[in-house]
Amino acid sequence: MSRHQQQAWFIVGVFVLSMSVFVALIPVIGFHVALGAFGLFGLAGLAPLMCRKRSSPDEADVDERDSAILVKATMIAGIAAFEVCVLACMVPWFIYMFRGEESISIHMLPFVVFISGITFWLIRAIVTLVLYGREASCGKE
Amino acid sequence: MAKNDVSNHIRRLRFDHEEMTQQELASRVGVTRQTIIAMEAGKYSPSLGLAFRIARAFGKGVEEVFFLEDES
Repeated sequence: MSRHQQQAWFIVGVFVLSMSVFVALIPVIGFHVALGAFGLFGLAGLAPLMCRKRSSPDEADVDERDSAILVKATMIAGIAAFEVCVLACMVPWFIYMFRGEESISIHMLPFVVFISGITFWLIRAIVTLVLYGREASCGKE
Repeated sequence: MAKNDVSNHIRRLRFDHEEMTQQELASRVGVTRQTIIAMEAGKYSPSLGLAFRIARAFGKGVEEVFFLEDES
């Protein structure tokens, strides 16, 4: 497993942990307050510390194919995050407008940043794993 | 646009070279074993630099290792 795969699995794991804590807290403290559980997703920032131990000094750690996969995953995640960001900005604006309200809740701002960021990191991790999985499905000795 | 499906003889050449393992070839050319696996399966086309390094590892020219599928 390459370093990028390990990092991607770590990010997916942190997301699953955050989601589990969030779901577990909903009946206890309510939906809105339980959203704070996603603060745990900040642990995803530790992903670059994930580093595979090489079995020999001759073995390459990361190569051009790893870089190509990471670039492709980052592009797809960037597009997805942009779409989500635009939706998260525009949909509430229309809802508030139709209600005839003049201002938008201050709580919307961190929500837009949160939903865009989590989309980027999660999609990037998932696409990375899918691209590695596709190429590793056959040919091993 | 021209079709660009690059295929290769890496697997056959490894066996011709004393059954060189994927890991040995990967170490010689400075990539991971997974990249060699992906190339042999035709799922990854290497950069020009890597293609030259692989060809030299077998003592061959690039065109003896890599070829366009529509020319095979």
